[in-house]
Amino acid sequence: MSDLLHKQGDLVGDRYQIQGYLGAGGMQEVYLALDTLLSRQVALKAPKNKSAEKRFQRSAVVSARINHTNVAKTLDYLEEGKRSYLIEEYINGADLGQILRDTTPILDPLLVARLFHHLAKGLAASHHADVVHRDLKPSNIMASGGKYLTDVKITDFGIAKLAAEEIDEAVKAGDSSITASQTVIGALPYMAPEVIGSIASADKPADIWSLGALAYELLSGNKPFGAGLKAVPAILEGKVAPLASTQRQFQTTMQDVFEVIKKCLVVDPKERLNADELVNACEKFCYPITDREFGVVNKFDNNSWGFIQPDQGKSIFFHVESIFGKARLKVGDRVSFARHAGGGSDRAFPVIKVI
Amino acid sequence: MSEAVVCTDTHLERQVVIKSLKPGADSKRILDELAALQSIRSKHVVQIYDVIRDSSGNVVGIVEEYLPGDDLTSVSSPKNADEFLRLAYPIAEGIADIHTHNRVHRDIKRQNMKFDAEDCLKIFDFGLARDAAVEASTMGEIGTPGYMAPELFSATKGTKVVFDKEVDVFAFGATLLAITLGTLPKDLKEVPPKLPCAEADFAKLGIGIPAPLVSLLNKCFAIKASDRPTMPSIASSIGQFLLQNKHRALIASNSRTDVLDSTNAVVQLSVQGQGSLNISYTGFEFVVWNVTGHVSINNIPTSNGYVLPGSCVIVLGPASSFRTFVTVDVSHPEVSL
Repeated sequence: MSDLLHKQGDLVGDRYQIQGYLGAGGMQEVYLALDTLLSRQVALKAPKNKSAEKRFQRSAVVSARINHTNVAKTLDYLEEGKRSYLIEEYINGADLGQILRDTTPILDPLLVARLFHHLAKGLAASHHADVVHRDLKPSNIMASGGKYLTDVKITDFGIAKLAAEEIDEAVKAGDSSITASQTVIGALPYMAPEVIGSIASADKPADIWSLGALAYELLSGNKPFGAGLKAVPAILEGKVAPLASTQRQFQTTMQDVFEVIKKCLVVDPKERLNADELVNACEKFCYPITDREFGVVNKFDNNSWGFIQPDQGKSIFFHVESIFGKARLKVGDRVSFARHAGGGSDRAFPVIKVI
Repeated sequence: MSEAVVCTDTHLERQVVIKSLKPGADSKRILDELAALQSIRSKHVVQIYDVIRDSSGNVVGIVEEYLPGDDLTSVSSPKNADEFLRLAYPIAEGIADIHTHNRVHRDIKRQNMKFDAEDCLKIFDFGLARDAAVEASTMGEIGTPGYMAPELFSATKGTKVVFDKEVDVFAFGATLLAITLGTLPKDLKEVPPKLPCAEADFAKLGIGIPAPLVSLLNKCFAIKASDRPTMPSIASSIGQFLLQNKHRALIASNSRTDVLDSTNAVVQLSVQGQGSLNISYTGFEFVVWNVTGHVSINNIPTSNGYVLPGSCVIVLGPASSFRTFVTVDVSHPEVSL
């Protein structure tokens, strides 16, 4: 933890004891801290530099207005010395960006339906409180349970506005800082057409677009309009490659979810679903509520069925139709699956290939 | 706890509630209890932000999230079974969350719950500064008459009252009655309550609560604590009725795909020389009947009346011959209120 604002053991505000470093966003450092007063772990966020600091309280105030189980809770805000700190609910897990990168590049439609539904509810709560996120992307979504994806919570409300204002200021001052361009590049694949060119002016419909783009990526492993600057013309045109599954067990849900995604990715912001309409649409999704497990394929010598050795317990059966996605499984591949009772061995459905 | 005042947190510019504690409360115990409550991590449990100490370090107040709106005393009475279930479910789920984390609320009543701005039910006013075993003489501080289970009155002079989660189950039943009737039956309000109480009967509410639920909910008022159902079992039963007719089964073989739901409730699967079966949707489950020939489900030979698990493979045909594989996956919308 060199070059960081804090080291393990530091006590902030006479109450929050730093236990570890969790990572950094574009604007802030995030630590795991113990709230010594209420004996609970919290996330402590500190702005990286002076210019971020002055608007930090604004973003804390903004996120504190939202109260929903799918939004990370703002617990406290304090200033000590010349520094300011935001204390947030600690989510034991990982951000969705990390999970897509390190474990699970695509998710099956049943899981996406559930996550999409929950994210829509969190976003609706923030829009009810008149809070626009402006920078919804995988790294701003925390998954409790990490790769097990028990639930999802949106975080870093208001931070995007800080970034946007900084970029605008930097541009005016003729100072194109690297942080700024990184922020833009990271946000670009999820940016609504009306926002391109003026991030700070983003309004609620832009969040809906971003959530649709995010759900598309979860289902397909691809960003709907590609990455980098090349995405810009595609975003402005608003055309996405359709998503469909040829597999019978996934077709219906895939179709249901893609229909809703399409209604989020409408170029005219006035024609897009609003958050409440999105929640209503997601409430119609059918999905089983199951825990996910991980394991390794240990038998698959025909084209119709095989077995998985779970990380815990005895071998579990799978049918080839239960594997989601184009990946061809072979013995030794790591997979994620949900378990259902069966005679002789339990049955895995759905099965997805993981890293 | 006594007084509650709504204040503004000037740092975060949001309203909070500050509750002042009775003088002489044991600070360490309150902090332990608060920490335990926060460990519940349920969306139905009110969020604690801070505590306030006096100059000698004693905890004198608790700062918690402010919930606008009225408590459940002003909620309009459910007029039909669906309204009743939608109200009962989050209450049951909230108490179940508390019990799953091994805590007892000790003062469940409609005054101690509220729907927040996002329509999420929140439970507050846990019986903090109260011991798990209470002197018979201080009984009055343990709950609210009408919601209090009979065992809370069982102590004789000089002994202590010992109670557990079942007091919350009793109070849950009373809360539902109070919400639906607008008041509590007179016999329940007696100290101790007069049981069995004829009016404490969910069938008599006349709003068409399904019979299996009526009998489950009526058991909340069982005199013997161990005869009362557990909160997780109540929550799951209510959840099942909320999902009635909303399940979907996807049945796929090489030749066809069928969706089985409340509008298309029966399917027959049949392959000549191998076997056949019918699957019916009952509104709650997918049940197998009319089985002939060789049929196994998830590798278990099946028979009439078998209920399909969440996901399974049906195999038609005897082992070591040509067989037909049919996959079935059952799903439903999430109960989200």
